[in-house]
Amino acid sequence: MKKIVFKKSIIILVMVAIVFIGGHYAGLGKYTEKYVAMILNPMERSFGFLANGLADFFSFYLTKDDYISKNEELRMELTKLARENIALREKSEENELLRAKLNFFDNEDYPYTVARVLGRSLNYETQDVLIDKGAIDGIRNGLAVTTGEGIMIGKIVKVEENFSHVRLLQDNRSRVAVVVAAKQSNLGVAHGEHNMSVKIDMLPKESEIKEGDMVGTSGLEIDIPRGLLVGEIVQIIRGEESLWQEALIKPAADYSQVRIVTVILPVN
Amino acid sequence: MFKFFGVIFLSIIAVLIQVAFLPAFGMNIEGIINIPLLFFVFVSFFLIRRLSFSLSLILGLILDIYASTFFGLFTLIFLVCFVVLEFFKHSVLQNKSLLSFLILNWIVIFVWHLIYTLVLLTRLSLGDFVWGDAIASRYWLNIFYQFVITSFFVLFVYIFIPKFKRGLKGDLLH
Repeated sequence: MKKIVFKKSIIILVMVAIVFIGGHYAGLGKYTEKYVAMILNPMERSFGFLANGLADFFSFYLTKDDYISKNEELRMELTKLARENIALREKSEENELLRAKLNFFDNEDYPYTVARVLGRSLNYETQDVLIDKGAIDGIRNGLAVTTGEGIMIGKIVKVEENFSHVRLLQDNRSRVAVVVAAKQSNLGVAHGEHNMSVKIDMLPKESEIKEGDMVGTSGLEIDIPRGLLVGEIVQIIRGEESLWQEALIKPAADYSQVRIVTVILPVN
Repeated sequence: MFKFFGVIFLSIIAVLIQVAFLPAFGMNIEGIINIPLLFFVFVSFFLIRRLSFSLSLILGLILDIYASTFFGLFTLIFLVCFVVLEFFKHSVLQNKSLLSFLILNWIVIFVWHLIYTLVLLTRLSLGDFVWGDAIASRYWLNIFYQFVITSFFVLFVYIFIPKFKRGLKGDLLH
């Protein structure tokens, strides 16, 4: 009798799994997964909120001793940035990129939606994050995902009804058309390397780039506006006989610390 | 019935810890420990087979909802883990000792990563990834750390949670 009950419940469970998986591929996911995600998303937000609080608490106590020296470093950094800022004001195109750092979304007319980072999937080979906005919020594949200051952190790669997957720029499959120092002759494609860093390949050797140059989106891709800040060049690799040069980028934002993102929606 | 719903609720919590709680620390903790899998082994080791099977399906389906790979992969992995775990539990690792528990954990982690890597290799052959980028040293390191961290976690539970220790028969080998 017990065996029959066991078999019966196994059959029911297998049926449920088949309905779920089959339903997903038949495009019926919005009737199943949507409701599961609707229940789980607020719980995920709470878990993320709790973890963020704990992380902040521990990071404060762990770094407390370094605060004085850090403060001094930051003060020097501030002075350096102020000097750089004055120099950059003379370059209007370059300034366009830097402007992205100041009230970006208030100054630009892009339609956008703000989303909260829910977490990460269990896929070890990717650098994806989950956000709590999906198809019902107007999100679709290929849209740019930024921080509130206009720093691009990735692209939407998979959209569900009420959540989406964002592929971070450091993911090895990530590709974004960029421009260095806002000069149209310095066009390139930035891509993730080993899921850890961001690199620009195939920059013409004659491109005049130097360490410290700002990298922004070129606007050559549909749905990705020009002038979103990506990062700063920290290393240039030039082969003796190569026709191209490569550059390593230091991202302008720490992707692992981003908790709230802005998705730039299509204009139409 | 109460036990069933209790385990299901805890399985959801395990998934939420893995997907939302651990990544929020931003230190790749989520890459070096697999809480749903660990929870699955705990349940399978101590509770009945039916519950373990239900759990494998539920954990797989929930993880699939949030997965960036194809839907059904985690359900498949958990089902294979269930079969492998049941086989070892009823053949060579019948004793409920700490060592059996540890070995079962290692076997399940190995099976999980074996299937996952095979799927990844298939995707590599389809041109989804570039070899050196997808299966970089970090990928293998994460797997290695998962073995180590899981073992430490089990030992930690064994030392600090008396109920777990009481549930095991014998200290190491029985």
